[in-house]
Amino acid sequence: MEKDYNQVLNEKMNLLPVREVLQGFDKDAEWSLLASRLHPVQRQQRPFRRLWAAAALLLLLVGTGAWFFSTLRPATDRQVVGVMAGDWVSMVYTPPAPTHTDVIAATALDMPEHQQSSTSIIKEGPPAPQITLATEPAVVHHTGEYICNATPCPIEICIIQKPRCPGMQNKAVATCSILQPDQQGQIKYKAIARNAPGCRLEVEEIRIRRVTTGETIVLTNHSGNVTARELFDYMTGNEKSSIVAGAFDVDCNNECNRHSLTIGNGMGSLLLQ
Amino acid sequence: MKEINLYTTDEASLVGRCKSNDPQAQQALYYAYADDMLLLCLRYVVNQEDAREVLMDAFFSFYKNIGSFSYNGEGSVKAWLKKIVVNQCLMHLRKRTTFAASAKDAADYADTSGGEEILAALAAKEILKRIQALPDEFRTVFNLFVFEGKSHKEIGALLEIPENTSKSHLHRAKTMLQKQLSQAYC
Repeated sequence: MEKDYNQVLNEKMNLLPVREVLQGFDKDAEWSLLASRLHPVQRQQRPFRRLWAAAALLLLLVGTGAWFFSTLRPATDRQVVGVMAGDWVSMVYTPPAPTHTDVIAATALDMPEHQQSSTSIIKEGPPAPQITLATEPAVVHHTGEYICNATPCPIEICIIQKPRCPGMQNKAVATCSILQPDQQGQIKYKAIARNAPGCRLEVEEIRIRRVTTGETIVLTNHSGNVTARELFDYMTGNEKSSIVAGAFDVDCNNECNRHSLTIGNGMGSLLLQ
Repeated sequence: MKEINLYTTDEASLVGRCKSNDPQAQQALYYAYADDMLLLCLRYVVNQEDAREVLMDAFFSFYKNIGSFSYNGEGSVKAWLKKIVVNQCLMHLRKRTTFAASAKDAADYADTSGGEEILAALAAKEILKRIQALPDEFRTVFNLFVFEGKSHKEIGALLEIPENTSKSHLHRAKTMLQKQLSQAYC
């Protein structure tokens, strides 16, 4: 199949209307230029070159002489300009006061209920601060399928899960990974430890952030088009084909206006594009 | 414009005369191959001004190094010249593009074939325009793989990128191209 595609393209390129595509290409003029490079003609030195060099030297000498003359003149002829000792004003650099940066809520569960009901896009200039969440003894690190970032921008994926274990304080746990363009990495998330029966782990939220712009797609299990659980199923291979996770308004390289983000394994490997 | 009929002059003897720095022989070869090589440059470099400069440098290099070339029959001059032009294009692109991107172990990118019927239906000039619209790094890998017949390993060595990155770039180039061609066709 690959050969057919390449063959068709090669055959097509052989049919290019050369004169039309190369309009404005003056072969005679180009050859003249090339010929002059291949067979340079010895040029006579310009007679004026020496004259210019002499003039420059003379100017330098005159200028130097004038400077010496002016500095060696008696002091009474000069006006003293300057600051006397004791008059110096010290300049101390005062760094600007640090600006207050609001820390984004750790999970959507902290958000008011009305905000939990839809997929939200958080717009922010600088990158979000690192969020450290509680770790539970019942959950363990787990690595799953390989995902490739086939977008032109670095992407951070955070999977936020909450263990539901009887008799334990259940705090959300987050696992984040950053993928550079064309980088492939294993999806990391949490699983229930073997020695914690009766526990289950639920995907509460998935955040996909464009690292350079800070724009973040936040999916919860109340999101409208795609829920966090659904997206998680595609990422882990439980569901096949592809799903649109959301859309970014700002592209990291300012090339597109609105760019939707798709995660899918419909082409044989898990791609973020 | 002067037309020089290469077929009335033995190409092998032209090469021999070029080795002696014969301007007329050099001109004959230039006129024979400049058009094709410029089209090749345009696939890589896109901008006409840049493509002309690259072509000039390539031919200059061709004539300067022709002493090391052995004529091997019909097509051997074109093949050698093509290699020089491609290398010159890559040197030009390296000045403004970083091809490198990090990549982990090889992933099997699914075949993005299909779409031959769209290619067959579109005009060659339209296809060239779409290829030229691809980002530099994708277009370069695409050209090397599809038109120069290089393997991903060879492309990796040429562009100093991992093999995986070459596969990723090709995949993305084909996906973008297919999407654009489908829109143009529909």
